[in-house]
This record gives sequence, structure tokens and C-alpha cells, in this order.
Amino acid sequence: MAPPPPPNSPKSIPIKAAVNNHIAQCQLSEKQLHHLLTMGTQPAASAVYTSAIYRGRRRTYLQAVTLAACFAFAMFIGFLVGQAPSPTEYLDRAIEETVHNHLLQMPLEVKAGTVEQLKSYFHRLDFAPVDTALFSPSLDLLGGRYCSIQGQAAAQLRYGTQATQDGAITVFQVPLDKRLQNHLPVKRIIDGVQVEVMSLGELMVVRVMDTTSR
Amino acid sequence: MFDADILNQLYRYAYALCANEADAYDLLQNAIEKLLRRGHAPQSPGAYVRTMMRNAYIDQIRHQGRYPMEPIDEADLTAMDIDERSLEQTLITQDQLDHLWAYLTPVEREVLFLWVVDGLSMGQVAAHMDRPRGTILSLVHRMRKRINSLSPEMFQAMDGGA
Repeated sequence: MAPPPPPNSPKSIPIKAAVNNHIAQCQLSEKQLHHLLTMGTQPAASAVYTSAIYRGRRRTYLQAVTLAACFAFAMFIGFLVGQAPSPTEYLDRAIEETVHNHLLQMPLEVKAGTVEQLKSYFHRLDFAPVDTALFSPSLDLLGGRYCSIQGQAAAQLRYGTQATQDGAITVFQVPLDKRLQNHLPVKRIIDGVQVEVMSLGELMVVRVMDTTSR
Repeated sequence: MFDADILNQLYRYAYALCANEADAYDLLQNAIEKLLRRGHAPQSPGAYVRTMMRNAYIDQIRHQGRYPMEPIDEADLTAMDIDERSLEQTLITQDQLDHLWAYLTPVEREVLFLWVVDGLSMGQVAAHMDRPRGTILSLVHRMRKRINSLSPEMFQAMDGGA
């Protein structure tokens, strides 16, 4: 491939035009269009059985299907119970979830500079969120929002720069599962962010930080 | 419910998310199936399908452990040109953009789609994506920086050495 021409080369165009041209090339084929346009228009299958013999057979068949479904459901529940995550699995999933939430940077539900101001907002939680200098010695508390970790209601606190409101550190707090105590603290770097999971009193705290933050 | 034009528009949005035509078609087809299963049409079927596709794609990449965002360099944060006009002034050849497209993150592609195809301002893009405007501008800044730093060798690597 030839080296790219300099920005003022006649071949260079504004990125907006290049993106527009690139996307405009995408077209559904005739076959794809036809399929999408006719989805949902296929006639429904109709039942034609009306004989007494069929009704008898159908009753037996439905009973068998119901029994099989109940058995399968019981097996499924048993499987789920037997598959409750181990502490390590729970931590892996919680870390994945909190990294994703940190990177999403969803808008704060409440802006506040102190955790005292946040406590009244988090009244739906079974705990009061905490703030310590450990979370961020140099950045400001910007605010918080509700979230969840592995289905459990959690508090999300964001730390950053007041001027830009960009959150470089997110701290998630949730009641601590005692099974995790011997597995903490945990520290990892995933996709350019640093994750620390620790226990703080009765809470599990997950601190997710852009690796250039302090 | 949809005509060919609208289906193509939705298809292009799906393509912006996943940068792969086959995956885009699957996203679109699955979203339309979900719409048909609803039984009653939503107020805005097009917006509904777009939302379904986006949610499905986010779930997909989340399960794959792929997170498209990069950390912000603090030094850049204070010095950067936080202005969408800087992106408008970025020049690139069509060939380079065609090769680069798959290497952008899904978020970057979506921002570009909303900005270019839907004609939204960066503030409107941020509102649409439910993110702070500063975050979107930071992303645009990083993307522009990356594009401007691409060397001929890097484009060759994208091209498979051709």
C-alpha cells in the first residue's frame, strides 16, 4: 500500500465526507431486503385434528409434556443451585461489571462534593456509603448514582476534576459477603484501568481508576 | 412497517456499531424479530429497533470482555483542543478511512455515525448516548490524535501488508 498522502494532498478529504462515503456503501442485498420486508407475514400453522381418538391421544401427550417440563425445570433449578459462583468467580464477575460501568461513565444521578450530602440520596440501600482519602487523595468527589454488582444494589461514587466533570476514579460499594474476606484485597489491571477490591468494615469496595490518575 | 430506505438506514447504523456487514444484518434481523413479537407497534419503530440493536451489541461485546474506552492522559486533558471543529478539519483519504473503520472502537464508530449520518452536534451526540459532553469530546480528541499519528507502516499492517 502506498504511503498516505500529506493532509493537503488532493486525495485527502474531510473525515466527515470519508465516513459518509464509507457508510453509504453499506446496502442490504435484494435477498436480505426481501427477507426483512416479509418477516412476520408467513401464515400461521393451523390445527386440523378434531377426531375423538386424537383428543384422547392429545390429552396423554400433554400430560407427558407437562411432566417432562416439570422434571426439566427441577433439574435446571438444581443445576443453578449447584452452580452458585465461588468467591473467585464472584470477584471475577464483579470486577468485569465494575470496569464496564466505570468505562460507561453514565451520568451522575446526584452531584455532591461530600459523602454526607450523598447519604440521604442513597436511602434505598441497606448501608451508608463511605468516603475516605484512600479512594482519591487528589481528586474531588463529583457525585454518585445507584447501580448494582452481581444483582445486588450498590452505590457508585465518582471522583474527578470539578472543571471537566470527567470521572477518573469510580468507587463501588456493596455489603460484603463474608465468604470473600479471605480473598481480599485484590488488585488487577484490565483494559487500561486499575481495579482494587477491598473490604472496609461491612462493605466490599471496588475502586476502578484510569491508570494515569492518582 | 419499514420500507427499503429505512431498513438500509437501520442496517448502516448496525454496521457502524459492529463494522461487519454479516453481524450488522444479524443485529438488524434479531431486532426486527423482537419488534414483531411485541404484538403492538411502538410509537417509533425505527428508534426502537436502533435501541434494541445497540443494547444487543453492548451485551455482546461485554460478554466478550471488550471495552472500547481508553484512559484519559491527564496532561492532554488540560491542553487538548476540546472542540468538534477540530474533528471537522481532520483530513484523511477514503482508502485510509475504509481500512481504519474496523480498527475504531464501537463507541467511536457510533459517535461518527451520529455526527455524520444523523447530523447531530457533539452535544446532541452526548445526550443521545447518555454520556457527559466532556466524555464525548475527550473521545473525539483521542480518536483524532490516533488518526493523525498513524504511520504508513500502520496502514500497511491494517491492509495485511498488501
